[in-house]
Amino acid sequence: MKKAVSQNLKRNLRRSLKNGILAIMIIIPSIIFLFPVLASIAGSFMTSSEISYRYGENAIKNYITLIPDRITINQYYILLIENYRYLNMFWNSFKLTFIIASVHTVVAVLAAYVFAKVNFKGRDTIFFIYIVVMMMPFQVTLLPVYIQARLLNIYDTWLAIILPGIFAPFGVFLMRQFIKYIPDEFLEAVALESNSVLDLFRIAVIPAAKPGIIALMVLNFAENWNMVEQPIILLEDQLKYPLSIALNSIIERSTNIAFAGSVVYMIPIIILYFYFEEYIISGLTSMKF
Amino acid sequence: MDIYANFKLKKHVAPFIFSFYYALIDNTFNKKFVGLDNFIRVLSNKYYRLALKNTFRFTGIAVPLVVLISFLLAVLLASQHKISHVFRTSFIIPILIPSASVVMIWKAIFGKNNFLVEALSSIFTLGDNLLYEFPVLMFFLWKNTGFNVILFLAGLMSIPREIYESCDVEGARWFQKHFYVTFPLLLPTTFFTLIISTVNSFKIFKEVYLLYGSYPSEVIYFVQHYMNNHFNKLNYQNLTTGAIIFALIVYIIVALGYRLENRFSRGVWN
Repeated sequence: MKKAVSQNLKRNLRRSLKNGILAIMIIIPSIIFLFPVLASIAGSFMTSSEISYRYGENAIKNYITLIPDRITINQYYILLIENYRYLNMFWNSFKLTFIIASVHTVVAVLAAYVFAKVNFKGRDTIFFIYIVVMMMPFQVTLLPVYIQARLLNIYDTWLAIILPGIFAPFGVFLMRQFIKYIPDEFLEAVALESNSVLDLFRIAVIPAAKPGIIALMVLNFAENWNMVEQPIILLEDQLKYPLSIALNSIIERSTNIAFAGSVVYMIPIIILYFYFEEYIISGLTSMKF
Repeated sequence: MDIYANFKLKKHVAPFIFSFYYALIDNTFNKKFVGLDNFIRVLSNKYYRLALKNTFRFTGIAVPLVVLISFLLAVLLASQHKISHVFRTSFIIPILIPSASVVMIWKAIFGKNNFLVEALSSIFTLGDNLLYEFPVLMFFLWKNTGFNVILFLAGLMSIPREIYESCDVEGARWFQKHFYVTFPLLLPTTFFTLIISTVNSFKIFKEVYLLYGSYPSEVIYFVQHYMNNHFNKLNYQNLTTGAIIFALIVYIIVALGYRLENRFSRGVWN
C-alpha cells in the first residue's frame, strides 16, 4: 500500500516536472519574442536623459532594461500635445490604412466570389496570375506601378498608393478560401428566394464568410499600417508620408520621444488583435493553397 | 513623358508592356532594339550579381531556420495545449506590429555600441555578416515565426489523438513519435510554410531599408536595393531587366515548390 502510494507520488512528481520544463521552454521564447515590444513600452516611460544615456549616440550605460530608473509620462505629453508632426503623420497613416483596408475588403469579397463560384473560361489562369503577383516582392512591379501612376496623373498623391492597395491580390486570395466552402445548394436556394445580387451577398455570402472578412480587414490593416516601399516610390511630398516612414526621421530628430512614438504607433493594431483574435487565427490558418 | 502618347488609349495595358519594352531597347532617347543585350549587361554587372548572391544566401539561411524554429515551437505549444492559447499571442503579435516601431530597439540591441556587441568585438573580430546580416536575420525570424507556428499548430491539432495513443501503447519514444508520425503527416504544411517563408524572405527589404537606408553594407545589399536605387536614378533598362530576371527566379522557385508539394500531398489547386 505504502509502496504504491510513493510510486504514484513519484510518477506524479515526474510528470509535473516534465510539464514544468516544457512550460519554461515555451515561456522563454515567448518572452524573447515579446521583448522588443516590452522594451519599447518600458522605454516610453523613461526620462529623456535616461534615453540618451541608454540608447543615444554616446551612451554610457548601454544595456536595455525593462525597468526605467525613473518613471515619467513626459514623453507622451510632448508627443501628443507639443509635437504636431507626429500626430499629423499618425493621422496620415490612419486615413490611408483605413481607406485601403475597408475598400479592399469590399473589392476582395466581390472578386473572390467570382473566382470561387462563377465558372468562366480562363478563370483559373487569371487566378494563377493573381497568386504569382501576390508572391512577387514589390520591387518587381515597381516600374509598372510608377508608370501607371504617371499616366493616370496621380503620382505624388495618396491615390497612387490607395488604388494599387485596393486591388491587391492578397485579399482576393484569402476570401476565396472562405467563400469556396459555402455550399452551392445554399447559395442557389438563397438566390431563388432573394430578388437581387445584393440580397444574395447580404443574406448568404457575407454572414457565411464573416470570420474571413474580419480577418482580412485586420490583416490588411496591419500590412498597410506597415507600408514602406510604396510611399518612398510614389510620394515626393514628405508631408504626405505615413508614419511607417516618417517615424524613423522623427526618431532621429528627437530621440526623447522615440519610444512613446513607437508605442502609440503599435496601439491600434494591438487593440484590433485582441478584439478579433479568433478571427485572425482562422484567417491565418486558412491561407492554404 | 511623351513616349506614352501613342499608347494613351491602352492606358491599362501599357505599363506592363512598357516594362518589357524597356528591357529590350538601348535607351529612352534612341529606342533602338537591342535584343538580349540588357540582360547580358545586367547579369555581368558586379553589383547585380552581388545582390542576387546576397538575396539567395539570405533566403537559404533564413527559410530553413524559420521553418525549423516554428516547427519546434509548435510542437512545444501543442504539447501544452492548456496554456498554448495564452502563449501563441506572443508569437503572433510580431506579425502585426509595424516594423518601424521596433527599429530603435533593434538598433539598440544589435548596434555597435551595445555592451554585448562591444564585449564580443573586443574578443573576436566581428565580420560585417555578424554586424549587419545577423540583425536582419533576427528581424526576419521575429516577424515570420508566428505565422508558421500557427500553421503548424493547426496541422498538429488536425492529427487524430488516437495515433499518438497507439504510439504510447507500442512504447515509442518522443523522438520516434514525432519523426515517424508527426513529420510525415505535417509534410504538406511544411512545404507550404517553406514556400510562404521564401516569398516573405524576399520582402525583408522593408526592414533592411528601415534599419540601414538605401545603401546598406555590402553583405545585405539585396536585389530589391538594386532595383530601388536604379529606379531613383531613372535607369529603366537596368531596372526592368533586373526585375524580369528576379521575377523569373522567384517564379521558378515557387513553381518548383508547388511541384514538390503536389507530389507529397494531394491537390493544391482545388
